[in-house]
Amino acid sequence: MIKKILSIALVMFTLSACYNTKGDVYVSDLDIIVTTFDDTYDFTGAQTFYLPDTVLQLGLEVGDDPLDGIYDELIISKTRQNLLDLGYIEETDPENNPVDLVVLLQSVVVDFHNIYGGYPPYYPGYPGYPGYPWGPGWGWGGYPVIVQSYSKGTVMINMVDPDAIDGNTQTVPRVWIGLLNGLAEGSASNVRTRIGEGIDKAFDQSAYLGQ
Amino acid sequence: MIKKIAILSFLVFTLSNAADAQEKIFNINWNIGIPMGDTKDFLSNEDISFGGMSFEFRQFVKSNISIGGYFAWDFYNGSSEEDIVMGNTTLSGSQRMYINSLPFMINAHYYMGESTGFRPYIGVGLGAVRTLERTEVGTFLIQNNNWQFGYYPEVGFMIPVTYSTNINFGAKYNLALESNDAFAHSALTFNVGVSIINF
Repeated sequence: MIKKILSIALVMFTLSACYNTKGDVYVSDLDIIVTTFDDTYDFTGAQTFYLPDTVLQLGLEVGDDPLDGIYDELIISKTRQNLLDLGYIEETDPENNPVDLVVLLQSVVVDFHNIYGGYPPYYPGYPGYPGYPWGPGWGWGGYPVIVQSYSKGTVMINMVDPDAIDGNTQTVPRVWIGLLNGLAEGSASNVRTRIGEGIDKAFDQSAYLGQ
Repeated sequence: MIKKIAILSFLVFTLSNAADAQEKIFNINWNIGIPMGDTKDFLSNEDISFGGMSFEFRQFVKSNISIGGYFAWDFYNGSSEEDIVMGNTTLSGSQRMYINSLPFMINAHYYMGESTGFRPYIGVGLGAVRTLERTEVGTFLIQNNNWQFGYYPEVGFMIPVTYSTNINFGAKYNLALESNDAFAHSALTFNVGVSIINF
């Protein structure tokens, strides 16, 4: 009777286990784009912007960039193109020609290492009786240690109102933030495609930026 | 004469064994679930799930009334590509939603018909439901696990196959009531399985 119950349960379990979840998940499916804005800022009144030719690497010492800035040019050019497409005018000499917006670019890559399992070997062996020394013996093998490593990257686009910078409190209010986050895994071309599409999407979902 | 008596005795013996009252039943079912209400809204695009199973025990206290217990594991999953807008913030990305629903119920059933034939029944269940909600957005995860009070009305029928086995078909409307931390979960489940008689 127990065998009968187990057999039937196995059939029912197999039927339910054959149910597929909603398709495969790819690296690009794990990308997210977040945008937020200051609703007290009048974007229609802003016409000019300044975009430095630098992407600031967060959390790193100067000169220490794990990606060697291989995506910096793409991030800068994509941001610039989207702002121009929105009708903004780029100013290259902000010191002499004040701008309405300063666009600051940042990126960071963080490595994650998850370690699973692993038990130390035991039973090192027993010493023999005096006069009959035995070898130390061999220890039993431990369970294997599994290490799962992956990298996550974030690109941040900050729009700053230079007129609102408070030197006393050293605050730099941001009127718009576009943030891209995802796995920094895959081929360089795949990552470039995802960064480009992510920046485009950040501006597409921010219609209020339009002139 | 003796031959007739022998045949009659054989038939009486066979039929009486087949007609033994069902004293207890153990059901093993494959659950097919249709999420409804807030559950369907949470999952976004899950119309029907074939990923569930259940176990049920019924003890007859009368020839047509049983009481027992019910445990199930029903699984639902959905996905969405729609942007999430919260005030001034917009989040876009693939979302995957999962619900694991585990009801632990006591139940009672009333049966019509004879135990040797087609036997429809109605019943109710009452107890606790463990609901595990999970939302994945990008590489981020939000989990919300709760215990909720729940119940279900049920209709179904059993069809005898062998001396000790029935095929069971049941339909339940499962409801886990809203709590402080969880919305009300509801689903229509169809249980298709095997009943083991007097195990």
